[in-house]
Amino acid sequence: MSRRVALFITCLTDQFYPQVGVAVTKILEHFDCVVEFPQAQTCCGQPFFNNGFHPEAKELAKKFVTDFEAYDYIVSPSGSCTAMVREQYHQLFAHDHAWEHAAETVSAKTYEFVEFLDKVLKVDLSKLTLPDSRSITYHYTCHLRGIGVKDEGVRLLRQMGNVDFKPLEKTDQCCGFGGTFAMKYPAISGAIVEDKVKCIADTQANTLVCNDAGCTMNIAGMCHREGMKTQVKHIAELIAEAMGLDTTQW
Amino acid sequence: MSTSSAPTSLPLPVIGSFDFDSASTAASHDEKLKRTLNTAVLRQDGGRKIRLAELPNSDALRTLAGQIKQHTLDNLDYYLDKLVANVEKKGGHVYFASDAAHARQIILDIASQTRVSRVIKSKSMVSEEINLAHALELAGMDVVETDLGEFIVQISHDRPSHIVGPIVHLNKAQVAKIFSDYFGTPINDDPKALTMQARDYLRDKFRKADFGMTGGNFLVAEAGVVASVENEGNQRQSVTTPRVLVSLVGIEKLIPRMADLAVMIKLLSRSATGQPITIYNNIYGGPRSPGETDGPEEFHLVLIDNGRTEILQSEEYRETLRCIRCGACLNACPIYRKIGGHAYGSVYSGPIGALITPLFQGLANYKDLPQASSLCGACYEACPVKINIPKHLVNLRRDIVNTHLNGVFERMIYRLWAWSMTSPMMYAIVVRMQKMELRRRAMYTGWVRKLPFFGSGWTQVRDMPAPARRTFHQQWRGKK
Amino acid sequence: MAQDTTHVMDKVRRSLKRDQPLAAAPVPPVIDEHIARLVSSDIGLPELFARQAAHLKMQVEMIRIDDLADGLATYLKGVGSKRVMLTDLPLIRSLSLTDHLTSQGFDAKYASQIKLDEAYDFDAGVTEVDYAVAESGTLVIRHRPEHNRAISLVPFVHVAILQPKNFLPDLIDLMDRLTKEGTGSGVTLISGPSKTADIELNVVTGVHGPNIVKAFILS
Repeated sequence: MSRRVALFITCLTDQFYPQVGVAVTKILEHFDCVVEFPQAQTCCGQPFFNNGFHPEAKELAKKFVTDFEAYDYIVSPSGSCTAMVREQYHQLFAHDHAWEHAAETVSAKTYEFVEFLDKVLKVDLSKLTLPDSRSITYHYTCHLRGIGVKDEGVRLLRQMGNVDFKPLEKTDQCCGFGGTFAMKYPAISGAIVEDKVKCIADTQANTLVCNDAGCTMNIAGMCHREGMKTQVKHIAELIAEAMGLDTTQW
Repeated sequence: MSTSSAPTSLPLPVIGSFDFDSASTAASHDEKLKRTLNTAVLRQDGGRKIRLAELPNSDALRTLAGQIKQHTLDNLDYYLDKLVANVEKKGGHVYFASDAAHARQIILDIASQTRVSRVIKSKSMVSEEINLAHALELAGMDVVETDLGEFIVQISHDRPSHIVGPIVHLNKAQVAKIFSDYFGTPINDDPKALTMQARDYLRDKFRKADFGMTGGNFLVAEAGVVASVENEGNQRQSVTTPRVLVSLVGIEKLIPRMADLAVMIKLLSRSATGQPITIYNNIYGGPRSPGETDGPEEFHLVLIDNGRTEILQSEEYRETLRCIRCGACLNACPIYRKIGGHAYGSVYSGPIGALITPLFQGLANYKDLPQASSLCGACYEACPVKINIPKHLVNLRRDIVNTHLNGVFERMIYRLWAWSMTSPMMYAIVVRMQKMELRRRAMYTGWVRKLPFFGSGWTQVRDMPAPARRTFHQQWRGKK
Repeated sequence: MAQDTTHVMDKVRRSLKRDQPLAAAPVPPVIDEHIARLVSSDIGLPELFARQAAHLKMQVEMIRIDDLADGLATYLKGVGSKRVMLTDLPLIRSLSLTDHLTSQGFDAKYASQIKLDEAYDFDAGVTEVDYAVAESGTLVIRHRPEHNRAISLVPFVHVAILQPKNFLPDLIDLMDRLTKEGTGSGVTLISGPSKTADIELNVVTGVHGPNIVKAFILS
């Protein structure tokens, strides 16, 4: 039975890691989903909500609800944006009788990519193998806490062959991105991401799996500044590789 | 050897123009601080997770504990009346202090009326809040902090940096120097030796004390008692030797029943330090009964407001008064782990401090605290009474916007940015402009090393990847 | 003083949007024992207590009542105690433990005969307990004339004598008892020797309270 899935690309993935969007689309299609991309989509409103601009965030939330309400499922490659829709839309639309119901419905069918693979599609990746052996470590992105996702990504990753998994110390400690926090408080954010990068270096893994564009920009940016060769990838990119899917073109 | 009876130049809690930026920047570069701090807090945070796993359903128990505290706050008038009646029935005296100055006055009056002068003081955050020790010293009393960490803070004229472990920012070499300077003895950094030296000194104080000052973790309304947790035994000393006992406790510390105390005890030390239970749980209230050979002859309970009723009034922020001062949120916080407690410029640090300090002391005075958070949610996950700290930090940020505490320029930029996201065409234009500029700055390396204006904070610390040549939106249009 | 009582209480009431006291008593949340209780069984409590207490660095020894007097003397000699104070309670009296210790060369007295300041110069305190909670390895003591506060606090060694009737499964049961019986002038829960970890998380015992807590469990 085909599932009608709308891809919610999120603004950072759209601009910086579009190949993750291609990977997600192709992987979902592989698992029998009909993937559509509502082209009117822009932003879920998270940066504005988090910084206290709630009326502005609500306008964007209304747009999101309008753009996505027609679909069975909404899937996003970013945990923080998913958490925004699932957790915070409730606060934005509280007591708004015109929008409350529509917002609840859309929130309830919005999933983070790993969550969707694991809980809805219930995939088994054990027949997949990466083209070559890779030592891989994993960063638990923070906003997955809010939506109750923890080890699912690690479990799925380790189902695949040629994955030499190295546990990351302090894996669930924040990477220090926090949106505008990274720019407003560079010393603190810098100290936090330095800690994360040191833990990554200690694993001697050549790849870090990180499933949020913001975290990835932050960690990869620090790795590059420090001259580290570690690659930072979304799990979708690795699964696509194992499936032999080309993420550079359709 | 210096004594603690002379008035000291203890710094008062700083309000007004606390420079969080400088303090936090300096702290985040302090490698020694970070090493010492992280060894302690990571061990405690790890201990918390292990110990909570021993409970049949720790998540549900935390929900219940939160509900118990919330219920008490929602009916605080009823439970306060009940507490007062029960304390008085046991022969204790109850006072309500509206603010810090009033609380200090009440306690000074009790001291002068009972003619006491040798104070042994056990750990109490609210006594820091009102700077009580300093006030007692100025009144000519001999005041000694008896909790080991607080004692070290006192003799080194420092301030505590963590709700539960006051000297988590000091290593043993630093403590050794403090002891050597204070006692005039040779430097010895063996923790056992240092502890025994403090024990001997303080034991003498215990024997001679006539005034015991304590705080309280909980006030049980139906029993009329204070319940406190500790590991050292100094608080037990306060309720054993001195003839006058005064407990200073915030009005928000009430719980309805002794049964609720069981729930709290099961969660408190597990969350705080990863212990299943503290060595001592002291339940007291009222003078000694006839025939007892120790215990106070008089018991005075000072219940303090000092801004709590303002928070109580806000149905939104009332939840923050659930706090049982366990420190779990501090241990879990990535920001606290990098800057320590002093950088918050307040008695209460860490995530809960970032919330209640602006609420108690004015958002205008502490507007950095709610903003210096990545909203990672580790604090909410750790809190035994489920205070939704990230949600309230965002609410405070909303208050900052609505009261124009941030600059007009900043507000304008955010609003313009939000407006540009309301239409796909404007979004595409903004994205295109950003892409052109960032790819230009990245030249051919694929990485931007320097950004101007707001972006400079990013590149101060790390590089920024260049945006892709074509966005996903653009690539989708090529899909068949 | 009365003025400020009204002032703060008024503020509390106004904050809760109430202009007069509540008509009916509010009902606190129900405590679901399935999520709160750690020990439900009544069986094997002394053994469970012993295990928990050992984790907390309390020394535990099962002993028959006939062997208690000698066992106590041997133990106290072993830890080098010379001056011993005891609570003036039925079991200790009935076994004439004070006299027995005196006959073994100790300076033994009932705590009720010692002034508070003198107690600081005693090496050991021997007490009974009111309850022993198996869940957490906790000794529970009610303060009263026969059982003072200092005896289990100021000496280096605290020896507690536990009888089968003292045991309770869980802290929930303890609080239930304290609710029914009241808390008197105070209750102290003891779960091990006094300790601190303030200096770089190094655990040091015997800070302000006893360094050693020994429980004799009578079988």
